[in-house]
Amino acid sequence: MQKEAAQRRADRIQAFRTELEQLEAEGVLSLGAEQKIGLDAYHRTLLAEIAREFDVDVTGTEKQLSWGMRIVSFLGALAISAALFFFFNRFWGLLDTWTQVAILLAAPLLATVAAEFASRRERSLYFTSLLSLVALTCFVLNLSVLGVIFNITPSQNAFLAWGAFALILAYGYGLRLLLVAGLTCLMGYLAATVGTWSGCYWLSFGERPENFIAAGALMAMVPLIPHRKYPQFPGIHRVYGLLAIFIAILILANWGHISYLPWSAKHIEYFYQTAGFVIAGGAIALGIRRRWSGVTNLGCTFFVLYLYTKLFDWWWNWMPKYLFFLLLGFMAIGLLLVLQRLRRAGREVRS
Amino acid sequence: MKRIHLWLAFALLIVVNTVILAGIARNRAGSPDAELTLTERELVLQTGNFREENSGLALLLDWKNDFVAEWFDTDKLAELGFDVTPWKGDEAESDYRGWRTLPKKAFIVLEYEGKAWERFQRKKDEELASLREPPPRNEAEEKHAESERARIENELLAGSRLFAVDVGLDPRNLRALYPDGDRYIILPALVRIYPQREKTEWNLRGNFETVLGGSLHIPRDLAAPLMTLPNRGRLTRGYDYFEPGKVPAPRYRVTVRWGRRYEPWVVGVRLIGGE
Repeated sequence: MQKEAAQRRADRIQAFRTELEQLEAEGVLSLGAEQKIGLDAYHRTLLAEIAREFDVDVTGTEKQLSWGMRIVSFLGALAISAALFFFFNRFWGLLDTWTQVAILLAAPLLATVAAEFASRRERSLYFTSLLSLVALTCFVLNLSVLGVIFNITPSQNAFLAWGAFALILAYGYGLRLLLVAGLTCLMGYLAATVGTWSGCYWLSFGERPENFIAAGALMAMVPLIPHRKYPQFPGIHRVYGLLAIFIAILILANWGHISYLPWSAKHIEYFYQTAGFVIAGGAIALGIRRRWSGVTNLGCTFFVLYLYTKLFDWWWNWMPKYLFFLLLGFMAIGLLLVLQRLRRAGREVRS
Repeated sequence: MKRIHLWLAFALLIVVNTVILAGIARNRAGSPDAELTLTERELVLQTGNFREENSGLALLLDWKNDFVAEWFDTDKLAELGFDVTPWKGDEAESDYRGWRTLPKKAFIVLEYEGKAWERFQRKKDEELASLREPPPRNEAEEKHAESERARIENELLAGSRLFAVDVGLDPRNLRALYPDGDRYIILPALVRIYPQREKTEWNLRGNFETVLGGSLHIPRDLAAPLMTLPNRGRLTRGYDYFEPGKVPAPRYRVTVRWGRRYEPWVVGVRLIGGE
């Protein structure tokens, strides 16, 4: 059993216990004393076992604390990374070149060893996540400062190296934070590389949002490769890839002149406005069909965002502001009514 | 086998660093592509708001593009791969080509204290003469002439003597055209296309957006003389002189080499009394 499966089992036991209490209080079901003791002992043993083996949260309080620990671990990693950056900047001028190089190379190696050491000591991986992010920061510092020391012409290949390193750690330890960091670096690399195919210099990749559409589509397709060890990773790939596509479309739907397409800016904007609604609608449908809640929520969010930016274009300048916001409110109520109907229809089909 | 990710991470770190260090060694191997001794006029001290947070020291390469518009024409742009079909200047075209042509990487040739610098001096001397003739008619004109005179004199005394003189895609071809490595530097740069309205016609011109590798790190063993220099009296880009009333003068000479990959490194720093 994987950690996620163990956590789901613990959650199911908690839900079952609460529901049983409720049923007993309402007089619908009543277990005999012996059955109750037997069931309670079985659940307690099972929970203790999976808590020992996988370090999962077996109570609501533990779950809340886990979230807190995740946030603290992330903030801690950010703070330590910033400290490393500023510490090196403050003192590197006092070191000779080869000492600088040795420190820059040793830092990510040592941080990786520390992450490995932490992973052997804990099952919850909070410290491993923190130290892995520090290792990635050290590697970013390593390459960027080497570039400065030796006046090297910058290249997008650094993003590939950082992305690969982050993904190795993410898949090695099952760290979602590192996966997101790795995907961000790879997104930079892919977008820059796609940009160079059109003949522009890689640093201009941000000036053509279409580069991110191509990179996002590639990332959203990664889950086609089976992820048996980490079943939560495909969802992150899909949402991250789609997020890049949606943001790029949102930008192009409003600033058509930064597109590759050889049409007038207005026509490009109309094209991306239409594409935005179609893709967001498709994402909602696909998400519901495949039960990908992240994709559904992302599709809904961007559908509403595209709609609101369009309404802003049409009405903001000529309509009194109170009327504009009132209409937005009415539209939200209309959308709620439609969604409520869909929900009720789904329930009727199920019953 | 279980810890394969650990070995992969180590291998990646070592391979990437080895590739970078090998590239640096390759750049510096053999005789340099160019070697010049420049002064504070061409290499200004890089400063920032967070000096106390950064103990590293860097110099910024300063150069002029004064005569670029004369030679960076449609033919050169076509050579670099830009679309140079005639520019009509209507709104749709401006929308498409004006906004959407991205910069390209090319190689710039910078000339040090050469013909372009001599021409620049002659031009500035003429400008100084025109400020004297006819003489200012009132106090406002006198003040304007005075500030213009100071600006031009500062440029002649403290401005960069490096001028962009050519551009191309192949640095080896450029070196064959400009073989003197003591006078001509070849560097990677970003170039852009600009439509320029000349009378009733639109002409396409090229210009440089930036020079890549224009910031030079100073290693610790060479930084000591520069660390002793006060902030006052510093020459800055744009030649706004920090000590009004004093004649601006460069305070150091720096010997720089450019290697096989056209990446620079500093080999010597020396303080000077003035030029």
